[in-house]
Amino acid sequence: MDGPKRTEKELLRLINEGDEQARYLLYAQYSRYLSAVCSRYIADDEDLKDVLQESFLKIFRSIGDFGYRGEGSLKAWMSRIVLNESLVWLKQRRHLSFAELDDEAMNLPDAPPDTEGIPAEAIHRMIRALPDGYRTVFNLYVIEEKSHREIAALLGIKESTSASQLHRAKALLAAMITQFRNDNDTTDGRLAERHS
Amino acid sequence: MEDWQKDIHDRMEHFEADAPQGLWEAICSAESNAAAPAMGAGKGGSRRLWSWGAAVAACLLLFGMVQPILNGPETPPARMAQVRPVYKNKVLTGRGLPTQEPVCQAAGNALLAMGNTCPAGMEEFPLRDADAFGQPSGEAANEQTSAPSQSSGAPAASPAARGLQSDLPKDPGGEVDRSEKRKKGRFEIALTTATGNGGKARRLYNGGAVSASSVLGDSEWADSPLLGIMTMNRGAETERKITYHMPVRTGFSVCYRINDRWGIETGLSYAFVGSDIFEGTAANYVEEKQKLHYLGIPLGVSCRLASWRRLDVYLTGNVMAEQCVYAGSAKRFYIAGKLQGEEANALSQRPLQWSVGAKAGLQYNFSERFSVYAEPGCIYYFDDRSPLETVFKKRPFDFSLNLGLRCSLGKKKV
Repeated sequence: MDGPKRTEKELLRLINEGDEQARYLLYAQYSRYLSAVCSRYIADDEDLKDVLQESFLKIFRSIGDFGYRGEGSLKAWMSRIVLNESLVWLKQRRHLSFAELDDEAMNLPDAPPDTEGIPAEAIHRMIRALPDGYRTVFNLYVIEEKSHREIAALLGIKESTSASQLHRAKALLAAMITQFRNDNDTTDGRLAERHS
Repeated sequence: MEDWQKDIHDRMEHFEADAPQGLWEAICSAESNAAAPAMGAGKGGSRRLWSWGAAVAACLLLFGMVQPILNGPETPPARMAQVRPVYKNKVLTGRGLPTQEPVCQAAGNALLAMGNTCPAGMEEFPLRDADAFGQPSGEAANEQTSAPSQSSGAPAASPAARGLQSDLPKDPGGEVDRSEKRKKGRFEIALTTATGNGGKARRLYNGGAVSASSVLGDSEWADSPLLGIMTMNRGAETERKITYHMPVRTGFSVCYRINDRWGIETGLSYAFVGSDIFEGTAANYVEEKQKLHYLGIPLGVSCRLASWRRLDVYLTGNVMAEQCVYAGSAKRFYIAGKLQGEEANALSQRPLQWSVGAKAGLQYNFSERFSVYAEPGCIYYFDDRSPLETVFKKRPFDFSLNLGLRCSLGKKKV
């Protein structure tokens, strides 16, 4: 990042004044956050770059019309654009399949998975590894805190399909978390043996 | 939300990841590509516009100068044939029907039932038509069954009925007991129009906890206005109101008389079911118009209870299977009271609707072949197990009123 972080108000002032570097400053300050948002929905890295490119173009085109409403409003506005572009891309390319996988691990374990100590990067990778439909519903429900009703309206599916996809996403994610723990416990065990 | 999901939410909410390699360069490249043709058009655009304008002006001037020279002396307009439009009577008459040799012996008078035109709303709905249904709305949806008979197009008012009456054979006798002398064919065909009641429904929802995203402006939601509406309504109490329009049904039925009292009938019916849905808050909302078209096949029995002079009283009971052949939805999205987008699509659900009904019929035989009838009755709609919200689900038990013209076919008994 170039220099210290600037406030949203300052960034908007610079952009509206036509400062040549202002757009790059905005990009530099928020590209990592917006990449994280987008990559939760778009699994392929090439597609991710395309969607982010379109999102930033849209942000730069319409930032002049944005009404600032306090610190955080610009970040939220940009993330909504990225989310919108991601969903449109998924729908247009028919990547949103809500077919249910025939998987043994479709039931949630009795004990909820323990996420304590698991790095955020690992959780992010696990979410990206979910099938498209599961991942989209999981993101919208758990992270965007949308209801099944809203998700059904957004994605053009039934509420029951949304609930079913979420249930399966949670089961798959729980299995991945458990597997991650087992793998890391095994690795830690081997390391401890070697150094003992 | 469970604890582990809450933990994932909290961690992912502010998580950051490396941007793809070369993203900024790709953005700059895309911006400059988008700007270049626009700039080119700007520089030479005004020059080209002037050139085109001059060319058009020159052509007009030339045409104006040359035309008087090219035109000869004025010629009178060609004489049009004096043709008076003839409106043929399109009403079916007994003569127009193919002669039938029923399997069983035909008997009695022939009555041909005539029906009405199809109801409004059969055409494809236009995207920007504010009244896509063309149906009565609001209070009209809650009128009693007697009122719909006025809007369903009573046969007496139709040109078909008026034309029909001119073809009727005159009654040679005076007050004659028709119940003895009237002989009916075993086959009867009826064309009918029916309607039922509409209704309204209203539900309130709470939008959930307030978050920073609820203070966003209403800009840039054109691609996903629904997402914008949900975002703007976060934390607010949203409302869902549904206005069900009166379902309108039309069709024809064929009845085979087993004997003088009993008959079995079947046929084909078309039904139009529409509803208006409002969801959101006063400022941010979605207006949806839902249209469903059904084709159905009824199967029933009728029992003639009594006859007196020109009147027949009977009961019918039937079961009907109606298949939704088309379901469409037209939505309009409003943010801060302004239209942000429109969407029209066909719905994927095509439910099969079962129903059972019973009617009491009153038939007036104004000739040996033709009669008019009214059949008030009730009908029960079974749950079609689809997510569509229709008046069939809102009011599974409903009253109905069938009106129609009837004609019996086949040879008269001698």
